[in-house]
Amino acid sequence: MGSLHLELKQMIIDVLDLEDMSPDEIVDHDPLFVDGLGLDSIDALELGLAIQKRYGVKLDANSEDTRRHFASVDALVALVEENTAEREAVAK
Amino acid sequence: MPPASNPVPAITSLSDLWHQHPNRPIAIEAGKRWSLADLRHRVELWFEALEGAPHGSRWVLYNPDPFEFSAQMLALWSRGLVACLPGDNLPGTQSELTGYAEGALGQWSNALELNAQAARPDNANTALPALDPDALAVEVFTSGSTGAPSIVPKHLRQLIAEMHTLETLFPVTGQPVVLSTVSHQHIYGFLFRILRPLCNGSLFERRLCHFMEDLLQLAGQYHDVILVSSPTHLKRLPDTAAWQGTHGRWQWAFSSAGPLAPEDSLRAQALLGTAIREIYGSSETGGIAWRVQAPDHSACWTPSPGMIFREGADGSTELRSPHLPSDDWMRLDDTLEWQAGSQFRLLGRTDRIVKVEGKRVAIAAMEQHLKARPEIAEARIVLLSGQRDALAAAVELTPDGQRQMATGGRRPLTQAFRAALAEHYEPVVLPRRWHLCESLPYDPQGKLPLVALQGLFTENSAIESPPEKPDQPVVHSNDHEGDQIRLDLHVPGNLIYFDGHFEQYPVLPGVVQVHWAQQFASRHFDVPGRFTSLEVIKFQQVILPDARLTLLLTYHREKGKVSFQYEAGNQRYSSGRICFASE
Repeated sequence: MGSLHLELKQMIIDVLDLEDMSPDEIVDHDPLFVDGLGLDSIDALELGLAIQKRYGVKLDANSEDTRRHFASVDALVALVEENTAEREAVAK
Repeated sequence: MPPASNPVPAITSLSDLWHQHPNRPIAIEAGKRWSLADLRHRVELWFEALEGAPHGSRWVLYNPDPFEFSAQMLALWSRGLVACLPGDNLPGTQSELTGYAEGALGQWSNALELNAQAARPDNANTALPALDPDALAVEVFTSGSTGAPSIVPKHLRQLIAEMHTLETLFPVTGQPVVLSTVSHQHIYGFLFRILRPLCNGSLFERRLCHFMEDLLQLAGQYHDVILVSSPTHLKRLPDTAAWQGTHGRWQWAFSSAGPLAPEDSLRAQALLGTAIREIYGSSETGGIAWRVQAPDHSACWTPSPGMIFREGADGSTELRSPHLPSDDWMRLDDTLEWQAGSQFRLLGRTDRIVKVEGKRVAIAAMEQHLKARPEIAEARIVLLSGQRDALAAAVELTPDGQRQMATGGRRPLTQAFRAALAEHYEPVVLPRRWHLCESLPYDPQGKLPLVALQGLFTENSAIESPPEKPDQPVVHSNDHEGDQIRLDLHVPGNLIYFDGHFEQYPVLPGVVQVHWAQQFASRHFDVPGRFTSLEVIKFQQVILPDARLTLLLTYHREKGKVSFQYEAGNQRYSSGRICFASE
């Protein structure tokens, strides 16, 4: 498990205050909402805010994109990495 | 601002709808518009499909698309049928409504569908009968206090009366686009997202704004918008400068389904650059009052025109309003506290209904669902408020449940309980905290006090944490005279500084003695500046746990020094001088 994967899983648990849950119980490619981890629409709002705050990720795309980014931990990692790379490119 | 030549007169009655210009826009999505003629076409198709339905029969209407929802609703009404609006289409809800309704339209099992031949030429006009204002138009399903869902009937006349009130209070000009973050399957969304636009000439955006980013994007597309939202969404607006691009575009911004916290209201108003108008009401009563919060004024509610209140026999508030089915008084489930100027404050509900993130939940019903499980002997649910509202379930396990917990742990059990409730409840209101036990905390009267139940879920209460160890001596007396003070001290045996100093032989560390001397000197004398150095320090005897001793402090004002001495009777433990320097 990559360190960003672990970091995001821990963040999901902390931000959403999930009971009885440890990072290794969240499967990288499992859906976060409804079927997999069972997060709800308010969790999505909270998680979106936390990711914007912590990683400076902008979620100004349309809702289809947002839904894709929130599909799984893998998708979130991709989103954060993509944004970090963009910022570094801009910095150079 | 909208153009002055406004082609659509503000109307306040649905019966005028078909008299308007067929090109009047009704709905919009991603730049594409649907006109009144488009809507009429869909209404006619559904009207034909509903031919033969028994007059006055009930039809479930569940459709997330507001355009198609409107078409189906108008078709039902034109046929003299009643639209039943469930809040969700979960399997449990569908089975509860089986047999209640004649049929269903939209996303529902065995919903009526248009057959292929319904695709007929546009010019085949169907005459639609005028709507009967006295007909039963909708039934809204909501959580009743007994646990069973309560059914709130609304006649068309009531709905139109409510449109009149809203148009008087919050008149709409031009053709703004209505953006909503709330579903129209509940009364608030139904009134503000569907009926008001149909009546007053505004358009609705077909997409629901699930995420606040959707809202930001859509508000950027339209120049004149009305926001229909709720505290759940408004308190989670992302902090971005991008909202400034929407300033000046909001003709109105509404929030309902629960009161907004003052800080959330002010923050949302600052971000959106517009006033947030909160509406207070319920499925049963419709809108009762409204408010806009401001930093300098208390958040009171102003009754809408036509509301009459009185005190009921049991001290509750009773309401009479044109939005109610009759002229009878209706008892409110909220406690109101009246203020000067005929405004009021809300003091919470009088029954066992709670609002979880704006959604009404009958606690008794949820407890019944839990008690139906073989592992559960008794269940109590409480609301915990915090970052987000959440329900917490305290569960007394049956012997079978206890055996399962002993072998498999609590996780499989809580997941099974959650899954069972998910058949009937939306994910947002499912309990997020579980306390599984052999016996709930009954008091001597055999009751379960709310405080005790809530206590099961507050941090630290689960694990008995040891009392914190002190880091200060107990001061029994002090005798302050000029530049001298005597303090009688007791050094607690469980003082934190005895830990590890030393393992078998605890003594009070010298540095702690100096620290206390300096701390009391600063407290009692106006010593200048900060501590710089120590002089003539002597530790003559060790100080043991539970020692009683005297600390003598003398302030040498001219030198900026304080001398200290720990003693007991003739015994001197330590002494020295602390030097202070002015900054």
